[in-house]
Amino acid sequence: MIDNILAGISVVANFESILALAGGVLIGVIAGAIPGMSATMAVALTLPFTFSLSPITGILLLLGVYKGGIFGGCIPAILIKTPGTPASSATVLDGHPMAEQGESGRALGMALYASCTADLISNLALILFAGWLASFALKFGPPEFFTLILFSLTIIAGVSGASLVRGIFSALLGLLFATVGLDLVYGTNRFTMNDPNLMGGLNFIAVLIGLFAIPEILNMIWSPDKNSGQARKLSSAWVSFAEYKRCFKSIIRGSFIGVFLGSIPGIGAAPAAFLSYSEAKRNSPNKENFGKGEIEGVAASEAGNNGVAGATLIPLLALGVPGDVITAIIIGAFMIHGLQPGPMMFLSNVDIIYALFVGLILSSIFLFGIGSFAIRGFRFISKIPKAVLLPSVLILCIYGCYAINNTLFDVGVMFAMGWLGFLMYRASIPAPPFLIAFILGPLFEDNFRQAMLMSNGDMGILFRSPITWFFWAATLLTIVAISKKVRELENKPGQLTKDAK
Amino acid sequence: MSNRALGILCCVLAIFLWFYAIPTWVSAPSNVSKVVLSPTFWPLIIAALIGLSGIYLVAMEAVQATHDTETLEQPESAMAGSIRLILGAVAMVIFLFSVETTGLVIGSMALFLVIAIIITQTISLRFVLIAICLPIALYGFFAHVASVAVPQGEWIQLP
Repeated sequence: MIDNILAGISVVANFESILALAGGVLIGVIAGAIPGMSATMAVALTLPFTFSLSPITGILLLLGVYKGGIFGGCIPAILIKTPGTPASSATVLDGHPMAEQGESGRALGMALYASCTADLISNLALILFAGWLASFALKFGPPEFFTLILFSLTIIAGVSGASLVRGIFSALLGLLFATVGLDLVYGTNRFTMNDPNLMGGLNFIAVLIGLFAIPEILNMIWSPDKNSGQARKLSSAWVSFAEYKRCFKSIIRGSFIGVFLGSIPGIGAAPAAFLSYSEAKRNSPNKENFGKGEIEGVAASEAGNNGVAGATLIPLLALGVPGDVITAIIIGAFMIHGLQPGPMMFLSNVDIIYALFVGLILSSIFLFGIGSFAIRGFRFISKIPKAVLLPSVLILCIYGCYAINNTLFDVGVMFAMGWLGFLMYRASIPAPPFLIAFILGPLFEDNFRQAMLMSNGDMGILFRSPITWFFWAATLLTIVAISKKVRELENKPGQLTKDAK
Repeated sequence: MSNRALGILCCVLAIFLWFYAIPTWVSAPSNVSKVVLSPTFWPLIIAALIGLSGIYLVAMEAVQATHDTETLEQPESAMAGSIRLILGAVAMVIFLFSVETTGLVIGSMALFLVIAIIITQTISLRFVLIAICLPIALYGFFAHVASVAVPQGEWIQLP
């Protein structure tokens, strides 16, 4: 083991590799901070530059972009209510209210600390438990996925505000919009109106940006703020160690949620962030402040999504199976350089494996340094008057949305979702449940139908293993707890929809 | 929006989905062996749940007579706010349908100016400068760094 680590250090300890890693993190942070330029796009755009590099340098460059991109998404999520990446959707819930209160420095600082801590934990989990986690993840078939996602859908209760029914309605709308596109099993049209643009479904990033950013602009158009021409106040306060300590439990919990979900191929960082946020809210003594600018909410969301970053490499390195789209691109980089990830790589290229491990640990340190530098620069966006900022955000969103698929159709989807988000806001229907359901809906339905295909329609398959039993029990317990909370709220007059937005 | 109004809206949506939208816009092959495997199964479940949410909301209002007391921000005049929203919507629609002619850069410049004027009801040199510089800077980044084929339009060809 020590020999392998030393071999890994010797491979990484050169100027080229260090520069590639640091450069990758910087590129990732900048790309992540641009709405629409997701970490996936940044990694894909960087891929051609790795062709001429040595294998380890090229892969470290991509890993740096990946890590930086996931973190960078929190910057616009906090400052302009527009998540840079889908993974940062949950960060909006408390990060943006903090920025509105002039606390963007604290929000960004906590996001950075939580991200780096979660990233480090995720990397250590990869190094120490890759084999075990990969074999556990292999036990997840469609029935297990279905019950896991069913449990994850209980997050909706945590982000619905006081009106659970309105949250459920919002989630049902999200599920409905997620059905648009070609049917997975039969390939038939569902709500596509025979438009080829709709056959692949609604683009997730267009929906995300539309739902969060555009309603802000429409609200400003509906009721221009008298102070819209002036800058918001910007406190110089930075996150304190005491605050970090207070949120530490949520950060650790979120990191492990991220590691667990990241090690299962196909889940992604956004559900991990929402689950982490929901669990933090459930366990926090300040649960009433969640959604209104609670720093623990920012910490939990960022820990959840960054905890995924290292863990998605577990199925990649241990099994040769990509955990998400980004690792699918990274697997391409391995192959271009003649490397085949999987169990055999631990025997044939052990020096590269350990070099990656060393590089990943280094990336957490670079993320801290570069992230600190980036947020100190970006947080001054908060000082731009809203009358200038919001039209600028609109233009940025248009370019970002167009760039996803090089089509104006996505821009149209963004506008349409923006108007839907605005109407939902005016009707006190919370938007986050819509988004969660939109993310989880296709996974939920696809795994259910795959399970039914496996069992020829026998529902008994949904109870086939201890994993499914565990998630059924967790779901039932959560529903009981939610029902209890709803009854309590119903006994408090005037509370039902007070903070539904 | 009151619980009753939202409940009725949910019920209408559910009926529309169940009786019109799903039969018309969701194609299901005739040889589906199990109903749970049909492409219509999931949308029908969602429609039913939307209907149940609506019934629950209406019933809750009837039993508890709870009303929304939340105060969302309101414009000084609802008419003026509505006119501004309509103008914003028209600007977005015109932008979408004219981009292929004007190009994304010029279209964005115009949209920025229109939205800024709608919000502030004034025009200043600052807005004009940002309206010119921001789309050009974004064009530079997306076209030359991210290699995105930004629509150029028929009027001006940018490098």
